Amino acid sequence: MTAVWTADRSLAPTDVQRLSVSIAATMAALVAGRQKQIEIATACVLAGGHLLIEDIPGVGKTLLAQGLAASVGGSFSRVQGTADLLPSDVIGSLAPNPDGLGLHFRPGPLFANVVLFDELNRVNARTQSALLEVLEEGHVTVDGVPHPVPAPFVMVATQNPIEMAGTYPLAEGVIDRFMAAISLGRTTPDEEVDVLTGRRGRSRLGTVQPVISLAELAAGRLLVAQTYLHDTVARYAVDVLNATRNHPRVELGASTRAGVAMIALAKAFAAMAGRDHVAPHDVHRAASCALSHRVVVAGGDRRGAAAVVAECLAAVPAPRR
Amino acid sequence: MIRPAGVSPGAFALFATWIAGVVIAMLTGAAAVVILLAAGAVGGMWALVAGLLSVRRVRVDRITTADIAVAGEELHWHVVARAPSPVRWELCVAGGVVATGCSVDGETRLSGVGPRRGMYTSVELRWSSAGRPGLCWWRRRSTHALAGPLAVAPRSADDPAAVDRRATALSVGSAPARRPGREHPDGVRAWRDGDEVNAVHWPSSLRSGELIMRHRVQDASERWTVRARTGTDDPDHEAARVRRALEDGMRAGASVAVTVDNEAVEPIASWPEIANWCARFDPRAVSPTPKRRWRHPLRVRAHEPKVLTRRGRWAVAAAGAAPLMMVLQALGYGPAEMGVVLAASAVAAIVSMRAERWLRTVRPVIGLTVAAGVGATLVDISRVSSVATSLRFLLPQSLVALVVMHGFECDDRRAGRIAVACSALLTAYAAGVRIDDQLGAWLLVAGGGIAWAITEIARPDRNPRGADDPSPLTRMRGRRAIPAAAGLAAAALATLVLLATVPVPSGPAQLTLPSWLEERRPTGGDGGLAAPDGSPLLGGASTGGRSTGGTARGSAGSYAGFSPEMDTSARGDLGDEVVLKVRAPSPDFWRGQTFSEFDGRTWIADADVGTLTQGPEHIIRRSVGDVLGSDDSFVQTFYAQVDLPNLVFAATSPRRVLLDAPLWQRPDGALRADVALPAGSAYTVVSSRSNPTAESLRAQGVLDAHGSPPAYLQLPESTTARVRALATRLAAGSPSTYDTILAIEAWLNANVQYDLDAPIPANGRDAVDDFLFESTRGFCEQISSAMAIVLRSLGVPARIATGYVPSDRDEIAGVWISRAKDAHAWVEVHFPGFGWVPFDPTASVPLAGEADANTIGGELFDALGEWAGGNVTVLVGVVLAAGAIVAIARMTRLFVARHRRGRWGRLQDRFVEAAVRCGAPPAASNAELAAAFDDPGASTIAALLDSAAFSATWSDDDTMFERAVAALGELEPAGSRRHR
Repeated sequence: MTAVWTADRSLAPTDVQRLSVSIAATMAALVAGRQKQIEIATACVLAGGHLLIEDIPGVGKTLLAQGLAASVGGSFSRVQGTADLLPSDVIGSLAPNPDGLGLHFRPGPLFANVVLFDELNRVNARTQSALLEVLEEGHVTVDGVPHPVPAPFVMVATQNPIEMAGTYPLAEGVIDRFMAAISLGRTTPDEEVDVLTGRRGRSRLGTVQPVISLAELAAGRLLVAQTYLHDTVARYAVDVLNATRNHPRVELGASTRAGVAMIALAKAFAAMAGRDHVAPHDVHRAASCALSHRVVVAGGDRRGAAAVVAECLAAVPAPRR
Repeated sequence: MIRPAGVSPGAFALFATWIAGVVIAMLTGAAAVVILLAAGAVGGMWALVAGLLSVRRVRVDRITTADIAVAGEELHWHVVARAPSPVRWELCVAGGVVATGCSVDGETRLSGVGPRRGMYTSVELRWSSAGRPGLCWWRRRSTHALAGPLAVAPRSADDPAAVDRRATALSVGSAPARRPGREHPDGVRAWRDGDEVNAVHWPSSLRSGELIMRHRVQDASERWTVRARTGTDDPDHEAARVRRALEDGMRAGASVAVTVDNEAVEPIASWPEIANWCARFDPRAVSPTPKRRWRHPLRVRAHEPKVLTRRGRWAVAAAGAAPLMMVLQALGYGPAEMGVVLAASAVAAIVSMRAERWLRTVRPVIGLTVAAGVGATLVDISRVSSVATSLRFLLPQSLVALVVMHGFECDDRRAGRIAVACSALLTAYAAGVRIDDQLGAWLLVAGGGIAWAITEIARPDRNPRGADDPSPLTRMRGRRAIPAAAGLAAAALATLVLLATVPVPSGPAQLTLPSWLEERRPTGGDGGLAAPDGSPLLGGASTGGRSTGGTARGSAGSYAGFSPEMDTSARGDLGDEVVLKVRAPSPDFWRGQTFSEFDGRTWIADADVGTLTQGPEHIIRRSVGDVLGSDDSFVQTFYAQVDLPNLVFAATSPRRVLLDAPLWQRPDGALRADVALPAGSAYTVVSSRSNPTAESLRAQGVLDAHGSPPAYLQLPESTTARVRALATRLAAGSPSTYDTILAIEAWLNANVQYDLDAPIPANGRDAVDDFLFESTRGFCEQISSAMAIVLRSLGVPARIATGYVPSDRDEIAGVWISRAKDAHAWVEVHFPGFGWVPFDPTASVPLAGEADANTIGGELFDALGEWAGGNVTVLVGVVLAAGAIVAIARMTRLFVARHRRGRWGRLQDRFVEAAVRCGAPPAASNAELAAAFDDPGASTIAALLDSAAFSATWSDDDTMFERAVAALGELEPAGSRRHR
């Protein structure tokens, strides 16, 4: 199964903005509120990263992921994390040929453009580790044979950080593979009314039409990657990374890969705003969603990490002309 | 609580220099040294309180650190504080210092080690500062609560505590006992050798086709209960042992718990919990804050980094340059020697800044070699003939060589301060020796350099982040310049006020009186007068006739009074050239000659040349008519500014003369050297004055009855009757001779005119009669002659003295200045109780006993006031020029900044300024700044600025710029539209 993925080179830089606006409009019709999170999710998709959604059950994590998949044309699959889920359940396995002679690769649910991995932290460490390869390199290896997953490949994983019983905390390596982590938070009463009356929410999922084709997404990704990054802004990003490394409450600061992810996300933000260059506040925005899940704070407090990243951002003066 | 914390290394050198300056001031009596001392005292007071003020202005916002730390292992602290000047921080927990650091401004990261085991909720912050001078440290402390408690766990001990290891009974299938935490949750794993069959997770195994085991079963099969004991000698060690045991258990995969003295069992779920528990354990054992002990208030502590900064080193070298120049100039060296010394200092600065190991070891050798070379260049041993000259021709040169040599070793702050102290000492030496007009300017330069170097030494290394300041223009305000200027003005005023209490030095101590000859020009050796070139000087009129003034103009020798015979009708055409500078506490008549015999036209000096003493110290015997004065020693040092004849000037009555040549002591009281006195020579006279006052002279009554010594009652035969009649008329009704003298002076004042172009009396006429009654015009010789003859006709002994009177005073150098035209003749009247008392009907030199006791500050004030009064236009011009320079400098900086940053950069600065006024944080990005405005236009400007700064495809566009400027103009609140 190989997706034909050719970039639509006729796209102009401002088209990324158009794409993101149409995704946002589609999503707004589906998900009550959460414009910021939708924007981050869109940026994540455009930047070619994977998204981690952390929140308590019932706030629309899965709906957000499904909506994202539905508004981007392409195949969608869903994996539900359980403790006994095995790598072969996810990535596929070798099955006997119908003629009984030899084996052939039977792809698992990972072989889709958008994969929703629900409750990733319920999957045991072994299966989590099996995801590392596909998350980073876009292919799986079974029996020594690499099988590329369709491109573009976006994994949207969710985890519930409150109910910890029977879970396998995501290893640092796995967490590091996700470009951004968001949490959804509560909605306003008006938005909740919308959901309860069926004007928005899961009941609308069936009505969602793809607003962006795979070719457009590919072209968008190309444009995002081409967004210009000035050295001064890059240095600012490095200063922010260093600030997390030097912060007294941090045990493990942001890695260089975190920096790469942060810059990719910042580029996506810039392109979505119709700009051809990354501005410092793009980095600022990207840092708050790209770093907080990667920084390990003494005592293992995830919320503390967000505060630490905010502190680091406040401590580093933003560059200006 | 604020208290002194000590002085910086090397500060005592500056103090010692001040004391040495006092010694120099006492030895030389130089007002300039006293001015330096006063300035130094004011500076010292400032250095003393600067730290106090600085310490008081520190505001600590917050302190953050980790939640868990390990005793003795690295721990970082983050102190956010505002401090105006460099501050040294010390962070104390439970009485012990755990972290130290230094900061120039706000945020500081301190690194240290974890304190003693325990739970801490607050820390004590101590900070110390010495302000900008960096000499005297003050310390303050305050206690701050931490955001959360800091748990300090002990380091794991090598020997674990006793452990109860017990297998947990766990049957497969039963609900597993849930443990909190997430380190070892339930799960499955692949099969390992030795796994029990009943731990196989069959559903997973069937699905995957391989054996999958329940992880939990193996994992939690053991439970470690660590037994902690209270009441041990060392609770810290016990906690460390517990920690070791708990960690061992955790590592072994057991579920761990701890029990204190076999009581309640407390399960431990995670690694941080272990640390927390060990930090909490046995709170009784955590020692309370140790009792505050009294500490030595002046303990010297190294509060500052030892190494001198590069900038500081150059400041030290620069501060030494002016004093070196001052001393070398005073010693008469030329540009070549100065070049050698300056180059040696620069080389010393460069060498001392290089930290290579081999260079460090050979540095003293290089220094010694260079200093020897410099010394050899400077010292001319041949000139040294006595202890007094060694002070001038050996000591300063050695001092210069030493300063140069020390430069090679000057690489830390202590050495830097010592070098600056040496520079100050050189300045004081030069100020004590020099008497020229440029001294004031040099003192300003040297003092400024020294003050700058002291603050530069104290400055810590520059904050490297300062280089990346996003908006350099925001620092361009005059905020730092104005307080600095105000501080300098206050210091200058304080110095003047202090000086106003210091009297003019009463002359140098008599230990080392200056005396040297620039060149030895022998005279005839017969005690006769000699011209400056050594040739005999004969009849006054021939050399100094008014009509022939053109040839010898300005020369001191051209004055008729400096010859064996003085024609009263002749006066040399004397110029404005400074001929003599005299360091003395008060003005007096500097007498060179006396004349006793008058022939009606010419005064003739005694032919008796007196006795010759060899010197260099000459004890002067009493001359005719002298009386023993009071014990008051009136010390005068005479500095010849031009080539002078062999007259030795002195105030009456000289008692000691220091002159490096034989000296003729004449019976008439005049002194003549056996050599001429070329320019640059100096000699010192100690006189004993009888200090007469108007009252005491009046008390002497009418003197005509005494008439002694008789030699001074001689009258020429040509004296006319109307002169005698005038004398009798003026004496009538005067209760004392003193009043008669005043009456004569008053009559002269009223009836004759001072006129340098007075006509020459006809041949054969009595000059006095002609002057008094015919021409009624004359100059000092004629006026004095008239007065002397009038007094002699009354039987009062009187004579004519010639010499110099001071016309001017250099308040900085503290010397009286006499110019060629200040050559003067006056009358000396003999009072039995006071000896010869000078009276001058023409110039206004007060009686020795009535001279005002002035202060240096008062004199400076007067001089400054006089100068300012006379130079209003210059003063206004200087102020305007300074203002213009400041304005031009600012505009230049603005222009340069504008040029460097471009118009968009300036727009950016304005945008930042406006946003900060609206409450945005100054370090924020443009988008955040725009948010402060509550105006959609702001985001547009922010986006434009960002793309101008960071876009690759940016192209400048005038219309866009104009639009941005207009939009920003609307955003800027009123009153902030500056610096366009």
